[in-house]
Amino acid sequence: MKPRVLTTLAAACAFACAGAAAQWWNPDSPIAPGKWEAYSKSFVYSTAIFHDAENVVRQAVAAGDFRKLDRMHDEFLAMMQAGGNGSRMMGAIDDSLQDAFRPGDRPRYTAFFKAWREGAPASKMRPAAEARMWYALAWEARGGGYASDVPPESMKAFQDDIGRATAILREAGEGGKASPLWYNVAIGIAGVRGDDPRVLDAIFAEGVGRYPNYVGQYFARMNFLLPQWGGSWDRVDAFIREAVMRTQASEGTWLYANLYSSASATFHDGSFFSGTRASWPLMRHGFEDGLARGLGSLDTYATFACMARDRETTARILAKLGARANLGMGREGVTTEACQELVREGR
Amino acid sequence: MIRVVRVALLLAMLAAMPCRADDEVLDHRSYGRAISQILSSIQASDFAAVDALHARYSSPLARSSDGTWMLQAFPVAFDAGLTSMPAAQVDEIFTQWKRVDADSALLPVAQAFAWQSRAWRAKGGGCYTGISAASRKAFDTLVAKAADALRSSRDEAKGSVLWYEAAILVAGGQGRPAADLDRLLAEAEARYPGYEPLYAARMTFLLPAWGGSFEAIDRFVREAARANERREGRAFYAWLYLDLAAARGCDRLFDHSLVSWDDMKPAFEDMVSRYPDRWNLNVFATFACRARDAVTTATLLARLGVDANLGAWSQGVSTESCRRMVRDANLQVRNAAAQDLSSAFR
Repeated sequence: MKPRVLTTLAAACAFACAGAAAQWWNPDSPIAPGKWEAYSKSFVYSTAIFHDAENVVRQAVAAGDFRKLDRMHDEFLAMMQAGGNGSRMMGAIDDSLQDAFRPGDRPRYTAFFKAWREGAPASKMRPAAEARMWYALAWEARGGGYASDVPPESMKAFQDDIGRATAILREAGEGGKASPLWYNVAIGIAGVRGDDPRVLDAIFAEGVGRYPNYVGQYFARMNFLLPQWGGSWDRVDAFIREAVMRTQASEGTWLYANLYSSASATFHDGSFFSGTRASWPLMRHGFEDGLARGLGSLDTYATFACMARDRETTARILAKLGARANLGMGREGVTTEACQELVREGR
Repeated sequence: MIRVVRVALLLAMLAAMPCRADDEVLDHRSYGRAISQILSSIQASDFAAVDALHARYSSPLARSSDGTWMLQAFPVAFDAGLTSMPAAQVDEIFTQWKRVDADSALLPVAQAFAWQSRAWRAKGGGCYTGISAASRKAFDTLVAKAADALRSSRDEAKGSVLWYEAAILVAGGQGRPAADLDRLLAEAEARYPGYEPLYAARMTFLLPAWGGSFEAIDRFVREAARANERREGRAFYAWLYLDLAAARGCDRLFDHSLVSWDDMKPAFEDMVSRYPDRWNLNVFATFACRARDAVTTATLLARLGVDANLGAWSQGVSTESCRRMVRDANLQVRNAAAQDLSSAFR
């Protein structure tokens, strides 16, 4: 066979076969080694596999294994762009990168990314990952408090690291946008720099236009519509409703529940459903849609039902969960016991 | 609930720690290892190992090289391991434990800590916000369950200082009068002098959220420091205010309190003179930095060198930010000195 044909076949296989060896990266895979190709078409990317991928990404960062990260990224990108089974796995990489970097290891990370640049100059993932690293370290330096409570030297350290993150994205140019992760970190950087909201909107619009199946971008943009960033619950609500309209075909109304669930983690001022524009009936519908698609969890659904004081739904899900019930999601004051009391109150 | 809970930092250390032999030296890593051992023993239903570890650190009351009481690994492990799983699973663990060793003196203490930890989570940790009737009811029910566990315990259970710590937390949670809590503390002090977590437990119920005040807390801390000066120097002042800084769920208690750096600094000095562990030096440096004491921070950073790892319980404070604070302070001093010098020549 002529070399050009071989090259073409090899390239085609590199694309198609990326999904064919579905679990090569997972030491805990339910598929036995060597059997990946046989099971690739029927393999289901469940929530458990998503969490496996998160762990593997963290371990790969810790081990400096950028080749593994690149291969996983490119494979998940292909699945995302194809849609369907496995299309959410890119989220596992983004979620892991957000907490993969710790202060105190700065020199190790610098060396890691230097090796990555030199060893894989064409990496689609590296620019976004490196910018994410500086972004994470910036927040570690600043802490999570209000800006007025941050010591001036910590704020300076924060700004310096955000500057480094910005420089990485700028240096990568258009090539950096070969990964949807670029858009998430770019929105974050623009947001904390206090850029005009229209800049964030433009980045977001480009990102969802280019990667419509990647819902992580909605979370990134929503963050800077929250009150603590000068936004309001009205704007958050409008954004979430628009997000649901855009993603109906693939997500149903799941994003309504998922985005509000994420936003609720920032709300500490009394009743979530009184203090925001979240509609419990719409969230309930969103949770049902999500569960029908294998997304979300009964514990989370019941937690919000309890927060909404929907005794009937809380009771129904508690009955389903039985002894496994573990409500609260770490929220103080919303626990299985407290929600069981709520149900009992109504009897 | 206030105690020195270093769960996040310790869990980060746990991943890298292999198990050690029984003749281990109690250094600053030992506490984290103990938590890990307790959690894995419970998971493996090896309750004899949990009891044995408790016995090992009880007689005499063991402390690690940073002054941490090793027995504190138990309430921390119970809180970490037994509050995040379904209640039925926790019940099953205790049923198995009782089946294996019905006479375990530690079992009722473990039950008391587990149920009252879950009670606090049901109530919510927000100090200044109201709680729903359902959360309050859940709290009361779980604290009562913890009280039942202590009530049904045999006298041998009081042979553990942890019984008293749990008893104070339970009594406070049930809203018993201050005199009852003080009596429990006094009885515990007589048997286990200088065991600081007992004071931290009592201090919880002097918080504003429990009808107390920061003035009451400050009086309590100063009195506790005086009562334990022979053993600890002034360190109790630092230990107790650090508990406030580490308290979960209540925002910025330390910043709202009447803590005084003029008193905390000599307290830290007494602490590190007795327990010159680098953990303590890092905490001392962190709080010196928070107090913007550039001289003390600089001295400690120099002493710590590459072991500097500031930031415990202090958002926005890190080794880097504190180095920068020192540099900026030095620059101001130099600029002020230069200005003084130039104005002297006008």
